[in-house]
Order: sequence, then structure tokens, then C-alpha cells
Amino acid sequence: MIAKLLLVSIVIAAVVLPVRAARARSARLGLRQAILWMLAFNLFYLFAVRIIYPRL
Amino acid sequence: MTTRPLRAAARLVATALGRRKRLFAVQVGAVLAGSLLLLAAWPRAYHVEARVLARPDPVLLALSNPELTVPTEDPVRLAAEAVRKRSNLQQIVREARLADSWTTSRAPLLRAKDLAVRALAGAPSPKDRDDALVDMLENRLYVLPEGATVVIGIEWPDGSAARAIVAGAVSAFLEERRSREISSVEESVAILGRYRDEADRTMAALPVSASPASLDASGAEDGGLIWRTSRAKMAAAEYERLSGRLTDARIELTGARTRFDRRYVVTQPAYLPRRAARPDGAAVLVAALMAGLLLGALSAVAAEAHADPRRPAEWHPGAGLGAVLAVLALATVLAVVAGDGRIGVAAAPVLIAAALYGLWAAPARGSALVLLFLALALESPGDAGGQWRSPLYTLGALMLANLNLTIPIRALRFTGLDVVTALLIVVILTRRAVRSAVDRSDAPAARPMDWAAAAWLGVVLVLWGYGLARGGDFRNSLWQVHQYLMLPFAYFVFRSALRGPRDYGALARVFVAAACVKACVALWVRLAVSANPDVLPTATSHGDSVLFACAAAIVVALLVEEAAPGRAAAAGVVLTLIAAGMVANNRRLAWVELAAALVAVYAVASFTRTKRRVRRAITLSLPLLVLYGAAGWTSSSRVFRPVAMVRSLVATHTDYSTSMRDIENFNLAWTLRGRPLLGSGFGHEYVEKVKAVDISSIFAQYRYVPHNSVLGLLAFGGVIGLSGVFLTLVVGVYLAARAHRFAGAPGERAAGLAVISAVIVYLIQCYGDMGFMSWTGVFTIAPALAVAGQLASATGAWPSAAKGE
Repeated sequence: MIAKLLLVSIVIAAVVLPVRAARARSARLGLRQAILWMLAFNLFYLFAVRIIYPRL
Repeated sequence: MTTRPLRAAARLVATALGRRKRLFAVQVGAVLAGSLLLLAAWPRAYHVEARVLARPDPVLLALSNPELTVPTEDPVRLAAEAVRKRSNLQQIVREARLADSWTTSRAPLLRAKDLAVRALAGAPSPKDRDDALVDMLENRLYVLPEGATVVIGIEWPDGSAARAIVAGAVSAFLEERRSREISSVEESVAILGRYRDEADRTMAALPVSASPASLDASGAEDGGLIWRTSRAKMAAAEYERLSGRLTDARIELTGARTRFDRRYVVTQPAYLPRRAARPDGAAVLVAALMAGLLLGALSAVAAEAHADPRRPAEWHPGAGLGAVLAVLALATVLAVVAGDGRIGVAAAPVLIAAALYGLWAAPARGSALVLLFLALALESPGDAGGQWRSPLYTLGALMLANLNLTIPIRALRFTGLDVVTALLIVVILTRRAVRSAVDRSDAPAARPMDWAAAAWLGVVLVLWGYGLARGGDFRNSLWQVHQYLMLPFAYFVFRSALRGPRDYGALARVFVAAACVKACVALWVRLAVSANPDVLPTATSHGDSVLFACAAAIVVALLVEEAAPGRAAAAGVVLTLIAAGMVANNRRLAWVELAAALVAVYAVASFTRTKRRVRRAITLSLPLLVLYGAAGWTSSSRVFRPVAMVRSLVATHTDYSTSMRDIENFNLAWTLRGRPLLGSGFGHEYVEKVKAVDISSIFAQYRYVPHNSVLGLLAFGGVIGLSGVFLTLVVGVYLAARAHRFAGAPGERAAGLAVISAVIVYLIQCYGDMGFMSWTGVFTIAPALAVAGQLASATGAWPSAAKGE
């Protein structure tokens, strides 16, 4: 169950993070936030798939 | 799509036909006369077929030689090799005197070609001519097994020669079999006879006193005598053994001769055909008439448009209209006769010309919406498990599969969608270059969306080049990159073709109409082919899950945002039909996608009256839903099937399919270990650290195209590839969510929700079922991203360049 959630988390993040960032006052700031949050999440996802997932 | 453009088009055709009667009649007459003339000169093909029944005769075989253990050959299986042996074909060419009949049977067109070739390259030598005839026989002579029958046939330009060829081929087949089945026994008899004679001579050479009988009687103990005695006994035993085997072989020979005539029966001998099989005169005439009428109508419309000064310059096909129509008439005549009267082939030049003219003349939004409908609603080869074909199968194959599947030219490794998209891009760029007003947009797409789509294209190209540079397989890499490459171009088409929010109604109608068409097809396939999911796992295709879920989400978004007042009943009918289609298509993932899209719609939607009602309904029904779930958690009853589906998604114990996916996911994660930043690049397979069931016999590319496209992208593209592709989707969701906040009109808010739903549905399909490799996915997400970009500009959610920001 946790392994499944871990793998599917990127699908959830790809929608939740930009929707959350869209509330920012400035359009450019919100876009920057959305992209940075997503890049950070992608790095976490890489770590999760490479290190955590095979151990679950 | 409204019926207004259709009515206008019908009126245009009727007016053109009324005004251009002479042109219409000339074109119809030209096609009919041209087809008749060409038909007279066209090469004939006479079809002759013979059948030989090759039945086994185990009774006679067992009676003649009960101890036979040599396995018997299957003559039907070996027939093609036997008949098409080079020596046999050469003999057929000689005996049928093909070299003599060939020249006289040539059609006028081919005679003219022969004369031209002879003038350029000289006359061929008799040997070259015979070799060419043997090669031709090798290509045209077919030998097919049909149960226990061997079918031998050919299509040849001369009827009597065709009969002689097939008769010769039947004789060659029977001779080959006789040689295999009787000659081998005859040779065995001869060999055994020789050995027995040798044993006889050995016995005769022994001294008379050493004959076995006399030696036994004397009982001598002399050493030399004992040796002679043993030798005589051995020679006698060998003689006896060989005599026995020879007798068996002779019986076998007699049996084989008797069997052969009983075993091989020519049930249908080669006959003299009464008339040519091709071309079919009646079919050609009908096709010529139909194609001529079509061409006449097109010519009348084109001439009318050409002469109308009120029409925009883009509608004019140019000064050479007469030449174009003449070339088109010639092409039609050729297609009519070469296609042997097949209506589809005969009409192809006119339809292609009309489509090209339509693409050139019509506003790009109309062409883009037609392309979208075709991409979503047509069936692809392999849909419905290949067990059912609609009348539009060929069009679907042309548009959605590589063209070389339909047109036998190997180089056509691209689809009709690729061709039409490329043409649309050419039209759009040309109109931009000449500053045409036809496709003027109300709201140019927000810049970040354009940049994100460009980033997608750049990342895919880099990964493709990187993978090939690392020794990747080009052919298989095409399986991986085709749809990835197409998406940015499709995005460009829609962001350039759609004018802005005023076109979104038509866009939504196209989606919903395509989903309704596919739902009807799925229901029909379940009725016509099988209702049993074990027999027919999917009624249409896996990719249609995206279409169904997106179309349903669009309808729900319109309802929740109250953008379609008074249409609740129609929406109910549409949603019911789509749900029925989803049930018929039997994809669990479609329900997951729909549920996720509805959650997103509810979460992001404005607090309208409808949303408040929905919230109240959910709150009130929650205890009932919990009870229903608890009661049906372990039940296998049909009433609790939704609960069973939820359980299958979250349960720790897994079925066979889920286990295979888990192994594949593990292998993809393993592939990532070596190259986390850029992955392996496209053109490489994932590493099979854990071996699952080998499905290469069903899908040879399974290690290039994993089910989980998201993990596949990570394995092949590393974190850089994943980020590059996901950046586009994240920007799309961001702009749509922001546009939803800024939008004033309910329709615009519904469009924002629809975009977010489309991205969710697409991502889930990518995660669960090869979504990145699906045309439905590409043609869902590309217009969605275009809407996101335009909507952000139109609502002010993203500052437009015009405002100086």
C-alpha cells in the first residue's frame, strides 16, 4: 500500500502543487513556486523510487 | 459542431452544381470515357486454380508394413516448397511454352512499355527472358494449404497459359510426392537386393563340405572345420535376414504404389477461364460513374469559389485551376481502373484533393476540430481485440496507425494524424507569413505555456539523441518517442487554431460527441461480439478510458459551474451513455480516472448553488456509503462490484495482472539505478532484473513501452526527462487553476476545471496504462494545454504581452 502511494505520489503532486501555487498574488511568483516545488518533488521522487521503493 | 456550416456547405455545392452544369458534365464524361479507354488497354489477368486432396491412408500403410516406425511427412505443409522448386518452375516455363505466349498476350499498354524498354536497353536474350518468366512464376504462383487440400493457383495475362501453368504445377507436385514416397522405397528394394545377392555369393563360395547341414551332422572337432562351419552359419543367417527385409520392402513398394493413387486425388483440375478476373468491367464502370460525379461536384465548387470575388484570397486555389482539375481527372481515371473498380480507391484522388482544399481554405479551427474528432472517435487497428471492424475501419487505420499498414510502402512509417497535423502547421504558418485574418486569435496563449511545450519537445529530442548515441535501437525508439514528439506540435495547432473562449463550446461538443460515439461502439461490440470480458477484455481500446473520463468531467464541470443552464436532462442522458460505454469497455482505470477528475472538479469549483447541493448530498449519503462499503467489502456479489473495485486498488494481496505490474515497476526502478539524471535514453529497453512472464510473442516491444509510462519516463529520461515533460503539465494546471480564479463567465470557469481534469485523467492513464503512447492521450492533453494558455490570457490570470508585462 505504501509502495503504491509512493509511486503514485507524483501524479498527485503534479496537480496539487500547481493548484496550490495558483493562489499566489503574483502570477509570475506563483508560476515560479509551482515549478520549483515540482522540481523539488521530482528530486524526492527520484530518491524514493531509487532508494525507498526497492526496500518496501 | 453546429449544423450551420454543414448547411452552408450543402448550399454552396447545390449552387455550384446549378451554375456549373457544363463543367460537371464534362468531368463526369471525361472520367467515364477515360476509364473505358484505359480499361480497353489495361492488362488482363486470368485466374486459374486447381485443388489436390492429399489425404492420409493409415489403414493401407499399417497393413502393408505394420512395423513401420518412420514418421510420415505432411504433404500439404511441404507442397509450396515442392511446387516452387526452381527446376520445377523452369520445367513449367518450358512445357507451357510461356516464352511464346508471353509476347502475344501482352496488353497494348504493356506492349508500349516493352517497346520503350527495348529501345533503351535492347532486346533480352532468350535465357534472360526465361529467367524473368521463372521469377515471375515464383512471385505469382501460390500454393496454399486448406485442411487436407493443396490449392495451387495463379493470375496470368493469358487464360490458356494460366491453365497450362497450374496443370504443370499440379504435375510437379504429384511428381515430387511420387519421388518422395515411392522412389525412396524403390531404392531401398534395390539396395537390399544387392546386399542379398552378395550374401548369396558368399554362401556359394564356401566349400560344399562346409555347408551348415553337413557340418552339424559330422560333429567334427577340427579347428579349421569349426571356423568354416561358423562362417557358413553366419552367411546363411545374413542371407535369411536380408531376404526377409527385401520381402517387406517389396510389399511396402506395392503398398506405396497403391496408396499413392488413393492418397492424392485431383479434386479440381486446372480449367480454361472463360473471362478475365481483372479488371472487372462492371465494377470499373460503377466506380467511374461514382468518382466522376464526385469529381464533377468538386470541380463545380472549386470553379465557383475561384470565380467569386467576395471570397477571401485564401479560398482561391490559384490561376491553374483548369490544370489542377485536368490532373485530378487523370488521377481519378487511373485510380478507377488500377483499383479494379473499388469505390474507395476510385474516390481517393477526389477525396484527398477535397481534404487538401478544405485544409487550405477553411479556418484552421474547423480543420483542427475535425482532426480532433477523427483522432478521438475513429477506431484503431486492434481495437475490440481485432474481433470487430466498423465501416470506417480503413479510415481509422489510415489516421491512427502507420500508413504502411494500409498502403504497402515500407517507408510510410508515420500516421495520417502526422500528415494532417503537418499540413495544418504549414497552413497556419503560411497564413501568419501573409498576415491573413482567417485565423486571428482573441487571446494568444500565455507565454509560459508556449515555453513549457517547447521544453517538452527539447527534452524529448535530447533524450532521443542521447539514447541513440548510446547505441539505442532506432526502430524501437520510434515506438517510444512518436506520441511524445507529436504532443508539442498538436499543442501548437490548437493554440494557433482556436480563437479563444468563444471556441471552447465547440471544443467541448467535439469531446462529448466523440465519447458518445465510442460509448455506442463499445455497447454495440458487446452486443455483437461478446458480453463476456474473458472472451473480449476490452470493447474498444484502453486509451478510450481517457476520452470517457474527460468527456464526463467536462459535462460535470459545466453543470457544477452552472455554465449550461436548462441542460441538466441532456447532461444526464450523456453521462448515462458514457457510463454505459465505460462499463462495456471494462477498464477499471477509467473509473479511477473519473473519480479523480470529479474530486478535482469538486475541490477547485466555485461555490455555486449546484456545488452546495452536491456537498449536502455527499454529507447526507456519507453514512450510507460507509455502510455500503463495509457490507460489501468481502462480498463478490454484483451489487457490491464498485466496492470490490475499490478493494482491488488498495488491497495488499494482488491478482496476476497487478503482480506483473509490480514486477515491471521494480524493473523500471532498477533500470534507473545506473543513470538517475538522464536515464538510459530512448531506444533502450528496461532491465529485467526480475523476470516476469515473457509477453514478447504478443508484444515484442514490451520492454521499450512499459505499462507505467511515468516510471518508464523516469527510467528512460532520468529526473531531467521527467521534469522536462512534467513541467508542461504543471504549467498547464497552474494556468488553468489561476484562470479559474480570475474567470468571470461560468463557461470559462468550466473550461479551467476541464483542463485540470484532463491533466489528472491523462496522468493516471500514463501511470497505469501506457498513457504517453496513446493518440487519445495526445489529442486530449494538447487542446487542454492550449485552452489553459489562452484562458489565462483571456481572463487576465497571466499578464499578456500587450500590457507590457
